[in-house]
Amino acid sequence: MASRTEKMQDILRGLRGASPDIIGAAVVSIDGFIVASVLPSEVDEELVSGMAAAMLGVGERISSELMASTMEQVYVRSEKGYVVLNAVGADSVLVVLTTKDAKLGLVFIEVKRRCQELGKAIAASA
Amino acid sequence: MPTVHIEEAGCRDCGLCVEICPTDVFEEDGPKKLAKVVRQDDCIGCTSCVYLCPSRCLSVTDAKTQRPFHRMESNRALVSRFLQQVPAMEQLGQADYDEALKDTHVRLQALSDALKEIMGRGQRAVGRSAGNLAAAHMPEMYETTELAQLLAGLRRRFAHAFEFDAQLDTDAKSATLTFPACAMHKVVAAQGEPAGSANLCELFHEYFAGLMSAFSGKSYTSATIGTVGQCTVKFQIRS
Repeated sequence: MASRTEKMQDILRGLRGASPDIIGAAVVSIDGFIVASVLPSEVDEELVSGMAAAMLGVGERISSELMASTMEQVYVRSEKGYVVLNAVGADSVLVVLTTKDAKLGLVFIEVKRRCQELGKAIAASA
Repeated sequence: MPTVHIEEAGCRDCGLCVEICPTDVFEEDGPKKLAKVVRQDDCIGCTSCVYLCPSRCLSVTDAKTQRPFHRMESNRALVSRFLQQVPAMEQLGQADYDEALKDTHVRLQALSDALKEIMGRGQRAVGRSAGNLAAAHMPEMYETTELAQLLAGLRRRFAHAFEFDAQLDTDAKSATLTFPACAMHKVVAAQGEPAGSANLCELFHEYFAGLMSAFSGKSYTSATIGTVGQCTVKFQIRS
């Protein structure tokens, strides 16, 4: 039987395989630890996980202060592509890296679906 | 005659020894600009470099008979000229130190409050990341990855700031640390916050987990489990 990490790794591989414009993905805990990852080898996972957790924290604060609501998604656009952060359950975040040519609508749909799968994998192991 | 040694692996090319040495014993060498002893015979054994080196990778042997150069009365003027100022110790009184300490307390508290306010739960990752970065300044702590020895080393390293008792779990992979006396407790107490559960304490606990992670190569996280009179924190490897 596959472990939780293996299941999540499979889900992330599925996400990356869904579009050639998705170049990497990772699930990061609110504590800043990588839970599962299919990030490109040149990416510093430790740095990404710390920044993602910090970003998740900032996103939560902005959502609650300005919109009195929970955070769902943060996305960053740069010249070379996008970084999408989507909350997974209460204590994790999915980080997705894409190229600048990615069709964001499709990416968001794929991210939403994979987040549900990841949420179930986390809940099943809790 | 005094002899200067540099532990090359510890040098972080900060260049402070090159700057401070009154007799230019050191030079920066190679593309990494690591410090190198080039005029050994000129060393007067003042040990300024030893005091200053942030990596603690410098040592001076056979300097016992030498009085520290910068503390000799006849050298005061020369030292002042090198430093281009009157030593700070001479300008400040106890009241100034007390005031400076109070300022430091307020800044630390404000910094941790700002982190909490802006980052919410995300601040834990920042605390641990700070521990990871600070670890690079303590190269001597990388000597062991075994938890009991690592904690013994950390106890020695931080003896000036806080004490802690450590109880290792049976698997020797996690430990519960009790901090009866900690400099941070005074900071939070001054702000009327309880030791241990104050935000600054939580940040510091993750900072400590970051240090342990960096030195051991394993991912430690912290959980505060007791705050009555003293902090009790469990550090365990994240599964």
